[in-house]
Amino acid sequence: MLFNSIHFLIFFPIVFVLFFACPHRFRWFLLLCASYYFYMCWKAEYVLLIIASTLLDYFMGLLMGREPTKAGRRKYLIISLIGNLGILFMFKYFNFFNETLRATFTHFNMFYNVPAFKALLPIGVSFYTFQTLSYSIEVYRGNIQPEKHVGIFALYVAFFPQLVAGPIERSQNLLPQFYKKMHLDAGRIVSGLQLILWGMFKKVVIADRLAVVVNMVYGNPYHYQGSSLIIATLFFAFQIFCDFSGYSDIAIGTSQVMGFNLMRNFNRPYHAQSISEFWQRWHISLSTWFRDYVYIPLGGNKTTFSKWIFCIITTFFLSGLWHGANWTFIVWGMLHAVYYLAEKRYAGFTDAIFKFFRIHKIPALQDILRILLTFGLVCFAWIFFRANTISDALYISTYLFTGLREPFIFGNGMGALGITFHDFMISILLLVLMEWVHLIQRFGNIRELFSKKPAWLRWAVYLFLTLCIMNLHALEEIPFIYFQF
Amino acid sequence: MKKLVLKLAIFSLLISLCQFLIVLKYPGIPDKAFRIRNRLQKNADFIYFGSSAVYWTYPKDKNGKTIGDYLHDLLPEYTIADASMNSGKMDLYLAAIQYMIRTAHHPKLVIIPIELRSFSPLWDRHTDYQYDREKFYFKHGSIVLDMLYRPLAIDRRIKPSLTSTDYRRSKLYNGDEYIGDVEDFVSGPFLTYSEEHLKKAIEARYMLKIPEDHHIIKDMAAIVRLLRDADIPVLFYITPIDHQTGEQYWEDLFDERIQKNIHTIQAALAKEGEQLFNIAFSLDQTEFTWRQDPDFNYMNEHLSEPGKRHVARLLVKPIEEKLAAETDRKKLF
Repeated sequence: MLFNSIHFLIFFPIVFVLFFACPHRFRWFLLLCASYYFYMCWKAEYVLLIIASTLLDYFMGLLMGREPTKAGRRKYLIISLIGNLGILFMFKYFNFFNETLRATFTHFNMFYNVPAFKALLPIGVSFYTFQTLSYSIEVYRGNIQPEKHVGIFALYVAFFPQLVAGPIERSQNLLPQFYKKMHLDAGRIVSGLQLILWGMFKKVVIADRLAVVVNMVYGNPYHYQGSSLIIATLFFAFQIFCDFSGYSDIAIGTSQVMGFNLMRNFNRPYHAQSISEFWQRWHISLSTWFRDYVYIPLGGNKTTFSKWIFCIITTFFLSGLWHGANWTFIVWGMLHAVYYLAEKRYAGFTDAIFKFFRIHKIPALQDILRILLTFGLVCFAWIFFRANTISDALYISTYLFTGLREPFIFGNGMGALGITFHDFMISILLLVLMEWVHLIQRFGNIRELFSKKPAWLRWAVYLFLTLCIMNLHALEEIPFIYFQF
Repeated sequence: MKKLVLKLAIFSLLISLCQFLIVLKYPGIPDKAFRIRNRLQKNADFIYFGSSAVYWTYPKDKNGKTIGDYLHDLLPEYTIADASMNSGKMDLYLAAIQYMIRTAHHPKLVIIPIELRSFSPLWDRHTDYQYDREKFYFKHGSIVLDMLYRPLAIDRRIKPSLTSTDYRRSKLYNGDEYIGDVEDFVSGPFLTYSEEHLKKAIEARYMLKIPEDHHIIKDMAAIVRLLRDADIPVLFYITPIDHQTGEQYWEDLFDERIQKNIHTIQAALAKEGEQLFNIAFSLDQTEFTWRQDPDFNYMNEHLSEPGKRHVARLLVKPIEEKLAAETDRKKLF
């Protein structure tokens, strides 16, 4: 079930009404049924994978709880890791590794005949697997007590607002909330609805419109060069942000309407002034997951220089691989590793340049240049993330600045991008609007500022956003990008 | 909470009102359905469907007139609603005619050109030319749908009937001989002009064998029945093709295949008691513009000013005959 569907428009109000009509002790059951139904709307049998993962981690958690020492708990953690990562590997990575091995063997004229694993990638498998893994690791570390209530634990794994695309919640945050009795609170409901509206606007109006151009160009990049490739890449940067942060906003808003608080997943990532800051602002629930469960256990900052480099490379490699079983994602992750390492190693280099050009005397300009530099690097990496193959990505990178003099706005150029000039300008205006909102957020909490505005203005904004969603969306079917991960 | 529910109700009403006002100015219906509907609402004497072969204006054209405009010059006593559009399809015309009859628009004549090239999967199965949304609109069209069409479209309930993979994997034939998939003819070298590719492009577009049960033929038959029941005469004609170029590359086989295909269509219409006006071979090579048009590297039916005027002149006689026959028939009953 998609958030931007009639199905969800009917499903959610029913769940909401039943949730508050239901006695507190049965609410977990209602939410669990709703969550499984939500998932089964896509492919019913794959709910068994979630149940298997749930039961495995539930029992491993209980068994770990009985062991007083870490050493005693380790074997159960290993079973949990093998089980969860095994599911992930089989459904997501087996064919990738199999094909890579096949290509390698063929290259050396060796026989290789392991058949492909023919199954659909279960939606959200990377998200709920990482969520349950975080639970097992926290129990292993002794940071939390194992959850005794199997139903509540199952709900933690399958909670429908964040089941298929996050945020990847920590058990410390979410599990206790399922025990809390939620009351109807008009202020919280309005706040949740505001987030849903904004998230829907970003996904349906901005991301899906930009996707038309991105899909056209990246679908066959060899027909394009220069300005078209630049536009498509810039559009993709905003598409993926609006798509994913839009989904997160809807997920957080939906939970908020029912009284649950999910973690913030995005914080104006394109306003970051460095790559390290970008990763503190982009997909926060995943980057903190990798920080806590991969980077720090590997040694983190408190290790030798060479081992630190290894930690960074491993973390970004796994982050790339998490996004998809394709070399394009791995290259994307490695590019970010290179950026990150270069940034830390040559921290004073940009400062020296700014000093040389005396830009350091104008802090605002310095900030803008840092933001633009970071954004440029991130966009370059997005080329590898979005391209269908490495050779497509290499072509795009090579021809990015070729034929820039060719007009793209008038004549056939715009048609070749799959949109009219009018649609192109609407997309640009929408991006300006979104960045304007982000700019306001720099100076304070926009929702607090917004709540202080007169009612007519707030209603005008609600009306504007709703009418845009109803009328300005793209007519093509554009699924949430992060569903595939 | 009551206050919130009340606010939500008021908000819903406001949204409905705004949406109503928006669709009055910008109807929320697919572009091509909007265009056809506007033409139908003109209550013209003739409805002239068709593809770009009817309206295409070559950059060197001075006046930008369509065949419909030239026809009006020759038959000034009749008004003509030109409902042609790029890549027109018979199933879309059928849906539009159903809508036309349902909404009580009764023209004196419906003119439908048949492009032989439209039977080729390159056109027939093109994902952009399936018009699922347009057909949905014509089937269910109303002011309520006007208001809700765009919001409902977010849900993607109107799924495309063909995916781009279906299209690219469609098989192409020369007669009964398989010559490749669509994707072999739309990418790479076919994007630029060469003599060899032109020959293959003609093969893929014109040399197929149209089966008697082709869905386009079935749609034609359905149109005949529908219009007959509504007492509206219809004129089907085969659009002129650049047969000289076809013969240049495929010699007699080209004419032979075209004649056979026309015969298949003719026979199917005859079964429904309808005649086919055939002007496929009536124009000279110089009356087609595709060779000079930088937008095209394959043979098509786009006409120059003299070409469009020529077609209009050819259509006058069968139109007058159709109208006379209809008058006679009405007198009889």
